[in-house]
Amino acid sequence: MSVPVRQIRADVLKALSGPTLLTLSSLVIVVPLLIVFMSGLVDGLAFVGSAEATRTLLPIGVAGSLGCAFYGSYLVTRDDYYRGMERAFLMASPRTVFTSRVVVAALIGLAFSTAGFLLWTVATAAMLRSHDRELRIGAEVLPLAMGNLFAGALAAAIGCGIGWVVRNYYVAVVVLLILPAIIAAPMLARLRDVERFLPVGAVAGLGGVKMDGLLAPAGAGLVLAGWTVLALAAGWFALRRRRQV
Amino acid sequence: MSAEAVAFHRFTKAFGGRKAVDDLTLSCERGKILGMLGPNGAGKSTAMRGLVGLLRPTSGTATVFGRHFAELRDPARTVGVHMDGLGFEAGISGRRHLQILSMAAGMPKSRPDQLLEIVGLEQEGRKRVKQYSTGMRQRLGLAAALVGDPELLVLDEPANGLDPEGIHWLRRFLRKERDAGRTIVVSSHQLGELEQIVDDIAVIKRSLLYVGSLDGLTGSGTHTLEDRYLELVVDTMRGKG
Repeated sequence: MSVPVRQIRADVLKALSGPTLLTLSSLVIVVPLLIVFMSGLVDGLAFVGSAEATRTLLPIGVAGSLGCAFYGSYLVTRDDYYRGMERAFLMASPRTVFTSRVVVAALIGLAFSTAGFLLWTVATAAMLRSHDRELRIGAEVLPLAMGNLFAGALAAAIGCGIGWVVRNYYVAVVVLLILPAIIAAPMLARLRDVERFLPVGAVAGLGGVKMDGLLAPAGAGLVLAGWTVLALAAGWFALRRRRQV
Repeated sequence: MSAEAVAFHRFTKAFGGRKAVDDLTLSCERGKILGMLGPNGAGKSTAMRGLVGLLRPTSGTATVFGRHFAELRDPARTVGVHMDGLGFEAGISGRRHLQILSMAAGMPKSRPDQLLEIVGLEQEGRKRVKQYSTGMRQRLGLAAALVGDPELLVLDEPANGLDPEGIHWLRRFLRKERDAGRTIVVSSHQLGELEQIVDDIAVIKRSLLYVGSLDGLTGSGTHTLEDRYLELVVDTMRGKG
């Protein structure tokens, strides 16, 4: 087995190890729940039919991509926190270590967003039922699910790139969890023409969030892919610069 | 293939304007134990980090088996490293750490348990690292260094934090690994311990003060390693004064 494949297998095992996995993976469901309850969306369910209520609530699950992004960064920041990164560079080249973390971040993002979408569908059904509405899903759920999965994988890769840049766990909390909440969310409400080209707006567009002015899923996917390339390039250059020491 | 397992050639590393290691040239033959001695801040760890590619020399070279560390196709199978600064995630068990490293090194599934037995942690393998004592962490670090069954071990202060029984165990461990054909480069302040296990000695204080056989330094036992080491280091200080 080649060194890169071995490294990826080892990084997958590490990603699934440790007590933080459950806590951090819960973000894929906690973030959408916070958005629904803090925005008052749930109160409006009484005034629309079941199909419209489903179309409003179900796409909010894509907000769980923030959790994927944070776990992507955690694949790097945990090693900085516990001083384990140099051990990785003793096992494989920096290029292999970097690539492996990005691949594993995308795989974990895919797994988290799949689980998140299923859980969010159950949560949506429960919220609808509590408002005497029922979950109405048809063929349109497929592109919605695909958008969620794609957003989760790319967001995790972006998070991984940012992890390589910032390295510090607490800085990653600020950049990937706090800043989106205090900057991107208000921009999505008031400056949508700009925000739709930024990562959070692109994630919302990709997930089919019911909001005027967002890019269509295909366009949003391209924008998010562009941000992914940018974040990974920044991460790679940060690693290269640090390794010059 | 190079007859020398380790070679420094005019290796110099400066941080800012200050040279941590200056013009170091020495080598270690295959199958031998080379002890690196020097006072704190003498540049031993810097030289070792340069050897395994964790920092770049300002000038000169450091090679393992004739190659720079970065050129090794499968570093984990060639060089095992234990040094300060290589931490373990506290919430993961020792055995799981070894499973992860073993997988990265392409070793069989039985390797983690073998390693736990070698370092005497078979009863503690399933405990989280945060429950380990300093000595147990040192043993886990040595197990991690051995994970890829490497030809060369680079160990920086492996005796730190070990109790007398642990130091005795470490001595036996190093001898056994050398007898198994491994080359070992080890730094330590435990001069009495080193004297019992090393074949060759390098005394460093930023630059090289002595390199050669232990017998050559001690006059085949006429002097103790500690006496000769102190003479070398103190002479350098006087020379500077």
